[in-house]
Amino acid sequence: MTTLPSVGRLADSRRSKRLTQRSRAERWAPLLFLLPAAFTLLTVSVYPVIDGLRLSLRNTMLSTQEDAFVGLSNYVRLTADPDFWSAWRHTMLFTAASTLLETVLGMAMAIVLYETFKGRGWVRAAMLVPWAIPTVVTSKMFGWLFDGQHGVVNWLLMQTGLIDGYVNWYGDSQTALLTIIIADVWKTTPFMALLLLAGLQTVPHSLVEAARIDGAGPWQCFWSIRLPLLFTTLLIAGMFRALDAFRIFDLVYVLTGGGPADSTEVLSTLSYKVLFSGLDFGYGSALSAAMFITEALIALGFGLFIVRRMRRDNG
Amino acid sequence: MAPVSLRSVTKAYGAFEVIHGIDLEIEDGAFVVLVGPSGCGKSTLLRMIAGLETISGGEVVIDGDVMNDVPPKHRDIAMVFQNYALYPHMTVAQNMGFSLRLAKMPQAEAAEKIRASASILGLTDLLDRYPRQLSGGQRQRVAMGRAIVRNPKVFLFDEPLSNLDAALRMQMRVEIAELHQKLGTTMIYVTHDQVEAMTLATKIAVVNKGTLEQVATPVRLYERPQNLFVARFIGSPQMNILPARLAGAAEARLADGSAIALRQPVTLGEGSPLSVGIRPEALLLSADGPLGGRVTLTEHLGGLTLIHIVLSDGTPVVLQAVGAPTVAMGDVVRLSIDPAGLHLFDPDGRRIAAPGER
Repeated sequence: MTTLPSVGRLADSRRSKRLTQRSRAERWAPLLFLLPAAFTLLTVSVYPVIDGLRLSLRNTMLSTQEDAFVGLSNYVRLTADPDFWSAWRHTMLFTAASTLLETVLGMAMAIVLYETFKGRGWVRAAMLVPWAIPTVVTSKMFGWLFDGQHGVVNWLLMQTGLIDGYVNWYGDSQTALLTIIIADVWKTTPFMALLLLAGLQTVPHSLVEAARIDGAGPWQCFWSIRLPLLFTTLLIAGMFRALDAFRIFDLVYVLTGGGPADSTEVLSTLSYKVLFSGLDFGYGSALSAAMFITEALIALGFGLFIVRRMRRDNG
Repeated sequence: MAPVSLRSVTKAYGAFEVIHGIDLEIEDGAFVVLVGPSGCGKSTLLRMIAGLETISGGEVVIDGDVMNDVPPKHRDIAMVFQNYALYPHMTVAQNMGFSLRLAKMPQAEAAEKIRASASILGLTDLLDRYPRQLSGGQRQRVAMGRAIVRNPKVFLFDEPLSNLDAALRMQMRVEIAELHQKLGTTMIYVTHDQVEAMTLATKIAVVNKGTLEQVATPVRLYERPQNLFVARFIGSPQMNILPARLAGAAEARLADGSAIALRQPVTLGEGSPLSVGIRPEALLLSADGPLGGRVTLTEHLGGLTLIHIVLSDGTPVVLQAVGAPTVAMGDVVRLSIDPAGLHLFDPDGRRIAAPGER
């Protein structure tokens, strides 16, 4: 009898030793599993950002082999650079217009696709085609569609009598940015529609039925029930779209190259030119940093709105 | 307040018919319960009355008007859904007032109506809450509040209590019954729970496989089930059904030879098969009863005891006794039958009427 407690204690200590071993393993295992992802992110995402910020404080120029620390002088130059501000305005205009159009049109498409009709599955699948086409191909397609002499858009508008003479769509600084916005809307609206369709499907059908019995028509069902319940999804989709649109490069680069007369120059094409045509790595990095900051502010604005919304929904 | 009539109503999805011509008259102010096993079409029927499902054939008439092609919002009905379907982004008051807002009722008048309905249902303190801040029972009440605030002609309930726990279900059942007495509005209520049906209804319609098996008051349904399906479906525990053969004019004989005296001569041929239905409370323990069996299980429910017995021909039966009789598992017992709880069904499952029955 007297030996029993000590045996118990021995077993206890053995068990606790096993437990600490296990808990140590449990503590380290998640970190170990995170290591590959953390390493990858550090090398391809965090390091370039930091290195970009470092370069933006130097006058690194590949053509003259200059490379010295110059403090904030690149940023001072930036604030007074009309090319930068013009590109900034074009980028913001493009971002706002394309995001808004894609959200509104995407919503309309989602509502249509929500209803059951024959061949809906095919239509839904076909919708992804514009999104799946490489952007460079889209650019070339729209290049031909909007061609000033042989373009089908001009021909159609002439036939219907909407214009008197051929318009040089992307060759005219008045219409070039509009052409790019149209191409982007064509390409990305279906994707937006699918995102919003997924959101629509999370709204319980019984809510819409309850609203119908409460006396709501289709329009009121949408405004009073579906849209408020979809609003958070709409904001999140809008944010992703806006951040994506802000980085617009390929459409502009292929369709207009930033012209005519810099009327479609956006921040991505501008920094590309400064960096890789001008080989001015210092100033180019400052441009990229400015892009980064603007984009972070856009994300912050959306993010605050979304968080407030979510807190209200769940609080 | 309005009567509702269903006239040979059918519903088909493509070539697949799920409702096979139902006729049902619902009087003004009645509380009709559509009851049946899941998948029998009772919910579909209710949704057709609501206008949420199209009507493939026949007519749905509310207050004298054919409603087949009238959208739900013009039918002047209110519906309580199984999952309540409260608008999550609206407060209780906004949920209840949504229909009034759509009807463009002046705000002061709407607020007054919301207040009145809320006080009937004890929701006055919850008007500013959101549905997610409410318990299951409170949500259920809000769903009913949303229905009564409009003062519709007909209330429709689609299994409104099935998401609640047992205690709450009983309480809400009482509240719904009181609500019906207070408002006197026609109510149509769908459930698969025959206890709900028995306690709430002024009239029960038993639905099975898209047809009506029987429509009657709860008591009549219990005392005179028209067929084996109704006999089995209504009553808990279930009616005991014993396969038997007619022996002589007024005697049924089980497979093991034990004889049951019938209340009336039956005009089926000698030796013809029939089913003898005995309510659990009509089976009595008595030393000289005609049936013999062995006790397999006893369940004490407090005031009542359920005794599970296997008869000597192998048929399991349940006996419901008042109090706690002293029988133990394995006991061999003899049973007699109270004739009031004895029902006969012909080989097609139809009731054989007792003398004096209409």
